[in-house]
Amino acid sequence: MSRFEFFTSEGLRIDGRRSGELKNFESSITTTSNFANFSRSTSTNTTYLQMGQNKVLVTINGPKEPTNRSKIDITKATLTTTINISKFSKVNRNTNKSNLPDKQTLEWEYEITQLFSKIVVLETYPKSTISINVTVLQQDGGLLSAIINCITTALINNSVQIYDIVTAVSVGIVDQKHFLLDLNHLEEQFLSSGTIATIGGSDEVCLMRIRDKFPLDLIEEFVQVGVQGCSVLKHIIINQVKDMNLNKLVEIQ
Amino acid sequence: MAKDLEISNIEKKFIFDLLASSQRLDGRKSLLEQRNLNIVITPNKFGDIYIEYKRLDGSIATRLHCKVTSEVVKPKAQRPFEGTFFINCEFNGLAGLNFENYKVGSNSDEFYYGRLIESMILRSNALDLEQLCIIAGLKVWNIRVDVHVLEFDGGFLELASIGCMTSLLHYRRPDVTVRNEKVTVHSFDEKEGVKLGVLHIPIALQFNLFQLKETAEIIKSNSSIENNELVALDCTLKEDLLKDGEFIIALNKNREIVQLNKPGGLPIAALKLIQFAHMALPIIEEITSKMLKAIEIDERQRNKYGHLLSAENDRYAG
Repeated sequence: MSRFEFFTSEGLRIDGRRSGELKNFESSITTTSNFANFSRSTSTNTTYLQMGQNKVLVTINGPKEPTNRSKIDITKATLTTTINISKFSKVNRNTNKSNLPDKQTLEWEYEITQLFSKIVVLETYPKSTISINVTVLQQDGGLLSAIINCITTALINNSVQIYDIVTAVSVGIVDQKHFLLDLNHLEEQFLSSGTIATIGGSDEVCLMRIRDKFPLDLIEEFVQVGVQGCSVLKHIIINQVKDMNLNKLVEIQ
Repeated sequence: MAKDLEISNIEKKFIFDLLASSQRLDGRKSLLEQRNLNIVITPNKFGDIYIEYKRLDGSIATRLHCKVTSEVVKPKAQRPFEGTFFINCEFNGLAGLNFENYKVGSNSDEFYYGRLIESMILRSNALDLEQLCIIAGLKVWNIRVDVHVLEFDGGFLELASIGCMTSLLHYRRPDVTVRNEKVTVHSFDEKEGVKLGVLHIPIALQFNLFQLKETAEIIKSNSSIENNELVALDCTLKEDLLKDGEFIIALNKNREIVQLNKPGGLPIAALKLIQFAHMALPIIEEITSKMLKAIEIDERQRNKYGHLLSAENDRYAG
């Protein structure tokens, strides 16, 4: 089926990476120009993540008082997620006329809300809402994992209490034996692939999603590769968050 | 799943205690035991199926109606050689007081499960869409499955996936002949119906997770050694509302994962996930054989007089 050679005998992939190599990962806090006016307001922080060619922006609004009184939960905060995938984010412009999100995006919203409502310590913010707004500027393969990683970074940057860092990677399989980590667009299109997210770099899986046919006997290795990738990513995220906040500190002083 | 249905703290504690001692509210003795599956195929119709879970005392817990309909439509511009397929899952006031009519929010479980079943059938090519093409680019069959919930006490996902696959396996579309670009659709009196091309039978199974400890403890502890959660199959509505996470797997009996979803919720150890995946296979094999048997029995009843009408000569060996 594959017109491309996804994994050469020398062990290289289409974009020159090795099988277990992650895409380049870079994140930064962008602060809006009127940062000084709202320095205490958390919503002015935007976190930008570039994971390979995925470019994701996340703003976190809250914890704040909900606009709708009926949404108040006395014991804990409520979490909402909206994902906006911009129409110019793909190579081919999305021809869908309506501005409503497609079904896939709605599914992701549901999954991400479910995921982070266990990770964020919601009990510390009773009677409030936290809304996560995701904007995708450019997409490559493994968009869901990029979104999850960006939200984690954003939650840390906005000092929302979380239990631990969630990291996600996508994993694909070539010829039923080689496992590729962190897929790009072409690989995602032609290979059976899935996304896996773990918490704190441990082997605790909090999100897993395979949407293609996948042999049952290979699931063990799939999970193993995914968990390893996640634990590597955790250290990268921690380092980047530390660097970012050092820069921020310098800026303020 | 259902909104506005509040469970009091006492009842919550009671259900948790029951689960911890591996008992269920409806009398089942094990967390991994499923309720009795019953498939009723409406006679004289194709692809019209009632599917139900029965409690131990024989009363109906959950009941779904699945019906397949087909019509001739124009194909999508991007895929001129393929028919179209659509699943409509509907919960309405009939299913229970807690469901509202005509309101399926995009963030609701119903939407998510419906979408899951649709992509389970479409993305794995369980239904061969190319067989549904009549004239490329002009006329194809549109297959539509309507799933209605008539009675609801948990277990929607499993029943809906079983129901959809059974009705697709059972359904026959009218035969067509094409002559000079003119399409004639024959009624069942003229020509016998044509079966849909079902290539394999994926069935979804939902593992429900209940946490035994505080979330902070679970995340901080090394859970591969300790036991932090209970796993139950086939939850009732009340158990469903109390669950802390789920793990959905759709398999076919060729040992292929068609869909695997763990949408957030309680984190669990990777090893346990793999264990569940392997645990699901024998259950799905059993369900598949049950489904095929129900269809076979129905087929035999339909063709009761088939041998009388047959023009085939008897052949004797030797």
